[in-house]
Amino acid sequence: MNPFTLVRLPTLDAAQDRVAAEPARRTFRAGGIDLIDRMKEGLDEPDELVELAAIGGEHGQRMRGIVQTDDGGWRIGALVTLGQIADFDDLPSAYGAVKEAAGHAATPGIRNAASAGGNLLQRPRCWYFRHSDLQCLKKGGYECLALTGDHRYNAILGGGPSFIVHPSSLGSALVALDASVTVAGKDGLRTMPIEQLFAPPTVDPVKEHTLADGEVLLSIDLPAPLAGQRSAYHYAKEKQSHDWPLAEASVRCTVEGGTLREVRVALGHVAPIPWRSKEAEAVLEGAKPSAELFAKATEAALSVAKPLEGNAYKVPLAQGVLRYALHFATSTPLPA
Amino acid sequence: MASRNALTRRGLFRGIGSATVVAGCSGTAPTVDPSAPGTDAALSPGEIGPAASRLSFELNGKAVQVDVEPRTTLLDALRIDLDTTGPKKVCDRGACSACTVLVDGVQRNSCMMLAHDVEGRRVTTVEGLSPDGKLNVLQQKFVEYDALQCGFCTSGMLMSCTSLLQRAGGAPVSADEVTHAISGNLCRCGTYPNIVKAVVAASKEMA
Amino acid sequence: MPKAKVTVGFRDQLRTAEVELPEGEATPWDGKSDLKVVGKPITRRDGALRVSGKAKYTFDLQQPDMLYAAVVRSPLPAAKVRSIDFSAAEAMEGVRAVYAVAEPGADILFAGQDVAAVAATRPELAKLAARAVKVDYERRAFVTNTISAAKPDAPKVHRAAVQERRTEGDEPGTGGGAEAKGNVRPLRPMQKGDVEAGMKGGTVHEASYVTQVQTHSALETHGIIVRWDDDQHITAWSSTQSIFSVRDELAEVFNLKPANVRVHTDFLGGGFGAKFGASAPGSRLGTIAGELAKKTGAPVKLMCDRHEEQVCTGNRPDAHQDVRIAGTSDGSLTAIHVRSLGSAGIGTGAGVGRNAFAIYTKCPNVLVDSSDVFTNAGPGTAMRAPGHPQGAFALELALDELAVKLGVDPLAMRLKNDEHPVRRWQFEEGGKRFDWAAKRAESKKMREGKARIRRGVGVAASIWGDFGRPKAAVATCSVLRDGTVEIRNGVQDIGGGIPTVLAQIGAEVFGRSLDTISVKHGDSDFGSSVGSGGSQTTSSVTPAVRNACEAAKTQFIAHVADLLKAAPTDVVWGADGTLRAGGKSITFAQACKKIDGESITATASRPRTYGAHPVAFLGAGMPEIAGVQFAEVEVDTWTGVVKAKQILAMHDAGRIMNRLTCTSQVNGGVILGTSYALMEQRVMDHDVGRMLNPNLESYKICGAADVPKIEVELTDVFTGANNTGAAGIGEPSTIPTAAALACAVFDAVGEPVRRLPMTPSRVLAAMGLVPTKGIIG
Repeated sequence: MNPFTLVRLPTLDAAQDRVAAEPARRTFRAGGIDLIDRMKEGLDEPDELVELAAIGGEHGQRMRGIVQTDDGGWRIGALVTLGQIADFDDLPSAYGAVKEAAGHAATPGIRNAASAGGNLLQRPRCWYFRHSDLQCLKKGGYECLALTGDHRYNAILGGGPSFIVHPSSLGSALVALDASVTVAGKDGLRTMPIEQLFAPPTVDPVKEHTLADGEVLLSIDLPAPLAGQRSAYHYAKEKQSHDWPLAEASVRCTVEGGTLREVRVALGHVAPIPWRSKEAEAVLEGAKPSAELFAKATEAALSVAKPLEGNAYKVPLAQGVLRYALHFATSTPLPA
Repeated sequence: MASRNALTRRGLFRGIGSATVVAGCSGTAPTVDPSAPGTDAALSPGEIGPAASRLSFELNGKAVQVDVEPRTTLLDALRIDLDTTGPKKVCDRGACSACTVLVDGVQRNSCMMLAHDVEGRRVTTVEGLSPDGKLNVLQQKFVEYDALQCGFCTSGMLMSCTSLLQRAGGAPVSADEVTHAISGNLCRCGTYPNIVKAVVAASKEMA
Repeated sequence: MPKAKVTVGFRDQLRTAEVELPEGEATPWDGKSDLKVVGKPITRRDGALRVSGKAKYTFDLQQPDMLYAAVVRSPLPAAKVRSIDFSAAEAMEGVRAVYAVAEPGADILFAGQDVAAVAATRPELAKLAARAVKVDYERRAFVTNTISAAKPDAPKVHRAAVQERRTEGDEPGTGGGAEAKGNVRPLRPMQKGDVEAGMKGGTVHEASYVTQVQTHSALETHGIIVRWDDDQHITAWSSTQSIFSVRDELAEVFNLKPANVRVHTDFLGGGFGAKFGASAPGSRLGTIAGELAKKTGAPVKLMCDRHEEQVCTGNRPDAHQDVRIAGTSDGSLTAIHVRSLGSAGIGTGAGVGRNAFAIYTKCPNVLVDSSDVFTNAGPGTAMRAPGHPQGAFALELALDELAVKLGVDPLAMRLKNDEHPVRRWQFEEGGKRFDWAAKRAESKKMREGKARIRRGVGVAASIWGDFGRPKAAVATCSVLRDGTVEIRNGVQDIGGGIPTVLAQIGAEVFGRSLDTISVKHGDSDFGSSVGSGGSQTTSSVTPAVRNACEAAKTQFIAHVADLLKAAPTDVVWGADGTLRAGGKSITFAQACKKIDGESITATASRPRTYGAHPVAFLGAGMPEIAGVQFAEVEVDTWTGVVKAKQILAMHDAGRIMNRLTCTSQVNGGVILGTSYALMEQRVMDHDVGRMLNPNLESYKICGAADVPKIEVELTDVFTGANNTGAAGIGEPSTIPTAAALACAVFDAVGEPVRRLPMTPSRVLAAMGLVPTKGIIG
């Protein structure tokens, strides 16, 4: 790594001003897992790392804690680690999807360092992006090398001009759970639905989020659970120990009198953003849970897929993953 | 997943200060769970680097000081500057866990940490598991069950498993729990089955 | 020549054979020998060091004033070096020397090839300086795809004649045949009978099978520390599986006497075939470290990082095998024809092993015709059973596909065609233990019922030779005045645990406890030895050690006889360590104290392999090692995910020296094979000519949760081939795993996955579930 300075400022304002003044050579550091990885590869070479962990006071507290809010929801600070989320007993089981997603991401050692905010804002894992010798669209190059290259792990939904898949496992779970995020901007705090945090490559191919330079993600806000809320997260990987998912699915719903309500479905690792499937939701909403219904819903979810030659397998695979998530979320017995 | 559910945050509290905590990692019993949300204090303000500057922390029960640059990882500082070579550099990207150490009792990948991250903290490496030169129960079981071949993954495996046993707080652990605990540790010789047996046996003996 | 009657064979198939023993050779331990220490499950003697962080590997070592080297590697897969500009690098902090590995005009043949190097005071400074070296390249056309490279109009990879690089890891008797034509270089074919005639005599199955490039991925990367002690002497610390090939290479490169080069490998973090010599297969590490050390007058350490390890330190070549196999309705094979193209990158040795030729020996007509195809990629090299897992996969899956066509049970079909008595027993016994018939019936039911989760079972065979080498290992045994029995041999421990086994030999011969035996190894000054390749270490080194121990013991008994004033033949060695003769006695410790000088010492080596039972490998004077593995898988038909559930590994390794460490090696072979079967593969972008996954994240190797339940059955086979009866296990244990898993997946889903690794994408494709319509791009 190139030499750099670690900057520890006690207030959020000071930290934001520091980065905003020279965003090209200064960056925030939270858990630092993805950042150090990119710096080791020579993909990013900042002169200053401004440490979010130094921020004290109210903002620091907000970023570090998991607390129940007055409206019955829960707020997860951006610096809370994946491990802390996965092991946090008091988080209601209605939010099971996010706990499962956090607990299955990365490795135990990484989960103890990687922050929730960092997980949502990490850069893509696409091997063309990560290869220091290659200049892809994400790095300011002319084309997405995955499109014409080996794209087995790339997007089947919402791709183009970049075909990365969003690497955050928390992302799809939080989209399904209808979470919001609170961001500290130049003019104070703003809260927005988490879907608005993610930017498809059509907006800006070199960036995956909507934050401006110097803006900081402070917390994730989970709405109060709906009456009878259930959720589930499921994934498929090439390797059952630590590996990135080929596809993952998160589902939230309630079952009232044998009928599905408030259904939200999100898929991960299939699109450049955590992918909400309104097609699946439309099939499921108001219907009676059954294996047949779920098969139909998963077909609907993937009916809009535009796979590439080398990743068409992800279509049936993502269907399978979503089927599992639907069965688990509704406790519908799996077919033999 | 049954394996993780058994290791809840409450389980963590159970283990603290218990007599069955693996030797060398007992240290000062923390009063709060070091890995619980909201318990971390903010880092002291200041600027470090880019030149080398003094770093002080506790390594395997001893106070150490070393001058390192901010870009030096904890792993490099341990291995190059402090001749503590138990933690291994294998992937250098957090994918293999051969560099695993405990920081304030929490399992971390030292290759993805900066050395200055541990200012004032307690770091335990595999060398710290047997500070008096006598192997602890887990280490003994690794030898007994041949849970090592070339030995290059062994330090990291031991630290991941130490963390597991601490979290279990003296309760016996299952094979599934061990498998989950070492899911980030890579081995190329094929020691996984014997590691699982060794850790299960160690946990029984310590229970 | 003295003759000895030895009991050879296995289990209830024992018989007496007469073998001619070379002069000075101890009488072989055989089926009648009742050994007290050898064969027992003894824990590793250096276990405590390895679990406490005290074991120092090459990567861990520092020398006073040591510098760190970093290599500038070509980012291009084919080019000519025009110029190298070191000026920016030389001006950087901490840089002490630079070195041009490639001179202007040099050819670059793969991305990752050595171009230049720097030495600096810290590793991160060396890395940054290497990045600052400016190299001007003239780009050339390249080809990295094996099939494309085999075409006549493909860019030619090698401009100069190809040197075949062979190591002790290569199987003896293999190697190149004819001259290369374009990028295609035929290997010596293996042939018997007339395959075309054989095809006419049976039902034919024909298909293509593809295996991937697998990298060794030892956890300790390649590396070396070179220190010039004076202008004629080098001391090196090397992460190597062959200390003596490191010594010889450094001596040759720097024009020194081999005796003036001392190489240490106290601990080694894995090798798997890629760590022979001072250089890695695709990087001249020893030369670079040595030159930089010479320039700076300081010791220089050069360790590869993981990216370098993945691209330039060797790999298991890929293979594209066209298989035709024919058999009759009773399951008898009439012909096997394998035509294979494989690429070891710029290197050689992409054959597919002996499986097709030498396992199902009742098949009268066999032709295995394979060729190396040169590509602009890092060189392949020996990797745990070179060629064999590739060959096993194609052969065994093709066999199962034919069995289905013929309506024959796959296990019965193997028994119908395999003549090896040990393997036949393994097939039969394993089939019972594995509950083969019931499991096959169950998987058929699940398949027919279109179950969501399907189970399947498969079986495959292993073949290997006992390649124990004569004369290579020279061991010394000393009985010291303090009562220690010290064994010395230079051999390195790759992780198999050879020092523990050598101590067992000493303890057995002297009737002493293991803690009184000292083993000194891992140092080229401790007596010549073999490389840890070809599964030959135990069968090469243990006989030499036993001969040395027996000779020292003979001298020691003579010494005791002197002390007791008796004839040596009258000395009785008591179980309690007391030596008696003619009514007098002395303890072992007392007798040691009275040794004149420092010790009683004997040095010995291992003679040629002299027995052969029960099957001579390919008719050569060495035993054939047998193995069979049964596999069970679970396939999730919704996601295509394959889970290896269970492996029953039935193996022969001659006389088992240590049941604990031997079992560990089999576990290792099975896990490596599982990883190869299900997830590992080098991914190369053929348009840019670079490896896309040069790491341990997207180059996926088995983790704990991917490992099947493994049951190991080790069958002692007494060969009378050498005085300890040891044979190898490292390689044979990984040969059949992927093949057995592939057969099991075929059983589970009813369609073959003819390409490794069997990832969800390939399983879903085999099941016909992957859409072909609506694809963009």
